[in-house]
Amino acid sequence: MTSIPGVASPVPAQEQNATTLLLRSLLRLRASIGSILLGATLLFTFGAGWDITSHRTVGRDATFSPAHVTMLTALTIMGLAAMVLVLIETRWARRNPGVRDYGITFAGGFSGPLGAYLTGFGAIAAAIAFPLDNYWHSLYGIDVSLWAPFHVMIIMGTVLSSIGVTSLLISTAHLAASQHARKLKSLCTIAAMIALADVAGKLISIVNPALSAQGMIGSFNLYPIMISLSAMIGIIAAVFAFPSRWAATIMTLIRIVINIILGIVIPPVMVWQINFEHETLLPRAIQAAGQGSTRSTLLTAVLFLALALIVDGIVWYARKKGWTPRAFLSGLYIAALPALLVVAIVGLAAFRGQGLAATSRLANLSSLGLATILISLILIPVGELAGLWLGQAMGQSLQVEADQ
Amino acid sequence: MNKRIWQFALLIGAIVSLVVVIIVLLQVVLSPYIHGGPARIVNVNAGPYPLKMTFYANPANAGYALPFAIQSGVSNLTYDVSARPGTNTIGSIVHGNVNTGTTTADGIPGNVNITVRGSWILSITVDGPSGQGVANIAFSAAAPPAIPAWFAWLIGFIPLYGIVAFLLVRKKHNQKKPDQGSRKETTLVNV
Repeated sequence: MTSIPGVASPVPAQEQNATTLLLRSLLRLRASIGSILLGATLLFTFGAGWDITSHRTVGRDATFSPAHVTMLTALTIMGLAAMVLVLIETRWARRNPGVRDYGITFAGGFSGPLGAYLTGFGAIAAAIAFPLDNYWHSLYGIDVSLWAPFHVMIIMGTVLSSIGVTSLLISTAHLAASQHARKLKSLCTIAAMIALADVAGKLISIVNPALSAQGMIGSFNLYPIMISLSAMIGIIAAVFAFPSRWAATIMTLIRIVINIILGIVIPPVMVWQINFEHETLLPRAIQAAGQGSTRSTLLTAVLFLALALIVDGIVWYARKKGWTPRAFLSGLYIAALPALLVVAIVGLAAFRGQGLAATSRLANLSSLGLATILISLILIPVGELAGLWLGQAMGQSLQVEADQ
Repeated sequence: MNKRIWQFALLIGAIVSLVVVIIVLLQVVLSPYIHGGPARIVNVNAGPYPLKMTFYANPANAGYALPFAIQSGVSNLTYDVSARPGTNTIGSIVHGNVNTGTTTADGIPGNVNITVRGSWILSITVDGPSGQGVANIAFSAAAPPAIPAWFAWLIGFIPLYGIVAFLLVRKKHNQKKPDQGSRKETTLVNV
C-alpha cells in the first residue's frame, strides 16, 4: 500500500476524522473528474478516427464538420473539467492547507494534481492548433498529410492530455488504496489503463504516414524506426506504471478493443454524414473502396499482442529470478527485438509509394527494394532503445506522481 | 521564484492563446452572417432563369464561408448551390446553404465554405416551373501569406516540448528523492 503524507503520523481522533473526510471528498472529486476526462479522451479518439475517414472519403469541406465539432467538444470538456478540478482543489486548499500535500502548487496560488495541469495544457495546445490547421489547409488544400505541423500539434496535444488523464487516474487509485476503497481503486486502475492504451494508440497512429512516399528519406524508410519507438513507449510505460503482471498485454488488448469498436462505429456514422451533409465522394475514395486493409490491421494487432506477451513474459521471469534492473531492461531489449522486426516487415509490406496502386504484399515490398528494406530495418534497435528509455521514464513518472 | 515566473508566463500565454483561438473560431462561425456590402455582382442564366448573384467577398477568404445572395425575377424557385475546386486547386466539392426562408435587399442569402486558396466554380442548380437550369460562376479564393514551414513545425511541436519537459522534470524530481534507489529496484523487479 502506498504511504500518503500526513496520514501515517499520529493525530488526535477528531483531527483524523476530519482528514479522512477530506481525503474521501478529494477521492470522490478526482474519481468523478477522472471519469469525465477519460470519456472526453475517448470521444476525441472517436472524433479523430471519424475525421481521418472523412478526409479520405469526402475531403475537407468545412471547418466545423461533424467530426471536427466532436473533437472540439471533447477538447472543451477536457479543458473545463481539468480547470474545475484545479479550482475546487485550490478552494479546498485555502480552507485546509493539508490538501496541498496531495497536489502540486502552480503559479503561486493554484493547487491540483499534476494530471489535471497536463490535461488542461494538452487540451489548450490542441485547441490552439485547430484554427492554425484551418489556416494550413486554406494554403495547401485537402491533401495535407497527418504529418502536417498543426495535425501533429493536435495529436501531441491530446497525447499530453491522455498522459495527464492516466496520471490523474493512477494517483486517484493510490488515494483510493490509502482509504481502503478497493472497488474504486480497481476501477481507477482499469480507467488509467484505458487512458494509457489511448496514448499508445495515438503514438502508433501517428506513424502511419511513414508507409507512403512521405516516409522516405532518400533510400531510407522511417517506418521501422518510428514503429519500434512508439510501440515500445506504450508497452514499457504500462509495465512501469501498473503493478499488474499482465499490464502490457491488458493495455494492448484494450487498445485493440478500442480499434475494433471504432472500426464498427465509424462506417455507419460516415454514411450518415454523407447523407446529412449532401457530400460528394472523392474519386480516390471510390477507387480505394475495394482495397480493404482489414487483414493487414488484424495481423498488426496480433503482432502487437505477441510483443506485449513477450514483454510480460520477461517481467514474470525477471521477478521469478530476481533480476537486477539492468538485466531486466537488457532482457526486454533483446526479447522484443525480433517481434519489432516482424512488425516492421509486415508494416513495410503495406507500403504504397506515390502513384502506386495497392497490389500484393510481396509487390509492395519489392517496390521498396532490398537495399531500402535492409537500411530501414537496421535502425530498429535505435528506435527500440529510445522507446524503452521513454517508456520507462513515462511509466515511472506516472507511478511516482501517484506517490506524492 | 524563477519557477513561479515561468509558471505565470505559461499560464498567461495559455489564457491569451485561448482567447485568440475563441475569437478566430467565432470569426469562422459568424463569417456567413457578418459581412460588408456587395463586392461583386454577376448576372447569369441558369437555363431559363435569369439570376443576379451578389458576392460579399471578392476574392473569397479561404478557410471561411463565402456569403452571397441570389435574386431572380421568377418566383417559387428552389436553389442548390455547391462550390467545386477549379484546375490545380486541391479541394473537395463543398455543398452550400441557401436560406430560402429569408430575403434581403440583394435576394435570398446563402453561403458556401471555401476551404483552400485558388480558383473555384460556384455551381447553382435552379428548379422551377420551367424545369431545371444550372449556372456556373468562376471565382477565386485567397489565403493569408504562408508562414515558413520550419516556423510552423516549431509551433506544431509545442505539446512535444511539454511532454519532454514533463519527463525531464519528473526524472530530476525522482533523482532528488532520497528513497528513490530502493524504489527503482522494487519497481523494476516487482512489477
